[in-house]
Amino acid sequence: MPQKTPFYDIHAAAGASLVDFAGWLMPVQYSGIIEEHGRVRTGAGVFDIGHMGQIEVFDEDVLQGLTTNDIKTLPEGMGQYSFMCDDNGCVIDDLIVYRLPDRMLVISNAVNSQKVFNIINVRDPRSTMLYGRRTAIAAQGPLAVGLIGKILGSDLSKLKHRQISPVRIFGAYDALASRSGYSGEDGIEIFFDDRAAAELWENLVSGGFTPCGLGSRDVLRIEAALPLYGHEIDSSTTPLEAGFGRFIKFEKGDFSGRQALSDQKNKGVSKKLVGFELAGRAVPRQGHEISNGDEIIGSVTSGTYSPTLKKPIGMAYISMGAAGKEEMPAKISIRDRSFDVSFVSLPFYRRIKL
Amino acid sequence: MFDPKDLKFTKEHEWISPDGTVGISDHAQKELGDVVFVELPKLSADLKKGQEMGVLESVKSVSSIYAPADGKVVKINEKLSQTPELVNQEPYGQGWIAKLELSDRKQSGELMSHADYIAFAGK
Repeated sequence: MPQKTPFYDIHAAAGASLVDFAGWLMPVQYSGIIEEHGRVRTGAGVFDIGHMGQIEVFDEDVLQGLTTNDIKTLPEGMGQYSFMCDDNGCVIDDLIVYRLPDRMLVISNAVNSQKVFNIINVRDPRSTMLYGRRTAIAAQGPLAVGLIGKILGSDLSKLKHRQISPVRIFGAYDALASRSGYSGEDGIEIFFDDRAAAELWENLVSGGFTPCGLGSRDVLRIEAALPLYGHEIDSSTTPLEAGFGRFIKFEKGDFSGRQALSDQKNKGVSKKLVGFELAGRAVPRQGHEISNGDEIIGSVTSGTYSPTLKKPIGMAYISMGAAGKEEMPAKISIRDRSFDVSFVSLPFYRRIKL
Repeated sequence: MFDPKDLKFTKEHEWISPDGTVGISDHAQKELGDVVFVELPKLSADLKKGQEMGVLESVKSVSSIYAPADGKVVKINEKLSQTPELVNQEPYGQGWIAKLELSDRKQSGELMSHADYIAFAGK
């Protein structure tokens, strides 16, 4: 049986279409993917992200040895993007690691949470998985930070990117607010007590937030070229291949996957993540092959129709032989038909920072 | 705009009217979500029942449209090229896909009534 977040009854009562995502019953859409996408790009949307893992870790040396970024350089009250890699340098999960005054908070993908927790917990037995006690929402969009600040009665506009700060929810529950998200827009994620879930969600929706599902979340993150585990990164891909070398700190000392990643960095990667647009009336999807003449040069990791660009877009791994020659004529095969693709730099969408 | 009660439905979620107009059901358009591209059949193509006669690409998935009965394509809904969202907005009206000249009227009689379809689709 799939698990339910504390927002499940609200989604069901609102008539959202629900699917099993990584073992969780989650809303795919409320009003419609394009509508919700538009609200997040121009206004404010709220997402249930209660399926994501929240893991409290007390021994920071354990995390330092398990992740690629450098925790020693992370100031209190800030978060960093990082990877947990296996001995081959391949990705076990991508994470956000926050430094709180007395502990670290690790945010993991739903599909990997148990695996990540088990790896941490054998090394730090005090570490705790917070499912069933703490949940989370993401408030995203150009109006989101102002609106949620008003609803919670505390100004969150001073928070820097990936800064996390304690906040009270309706005077009753302690929570954490972080300036972060997964949409390419400004926003706040709130990590908070399960018991406040319905009250916070309803206040956000009545306060001007459009409830959004995983469908629009996926389109938003593809436009912003944010990776998704199982697509751009997985157990056969390294952060270097995905283009995230800047989150690997070789100089910090030993960590899981360091040797393999260091070797790969010296030798060079054999595939590269690129963006492309498609000329034609078809939507690229994971697994579609990209070719140049008779040679298959790559495979799509994610694709969608971009409501912002009004055309089909995607990300793909292409072989290094093909990379750097992005002007070459390339084609994608969809439903036994062939469409021209042109490679473009990522991201497809970047918000204008005021 | 057709009254769904006058239509016959397939298990693949197409509908066909007594005059041979074909579309997809309201249930199907909801499941698909926002349709962004519609691939229409070719005019005067001869189709066999169950043969692919078009493709709907939505943001989240792709779905084939199958001919509900044998017939020749006599009209296609060109409007869908520019406004594919009509499939979502009016599945039993302006969101129709194509019109067939049926070669065997009995075939569409074998399909589900609206009431049976609703029970089948579970909505």
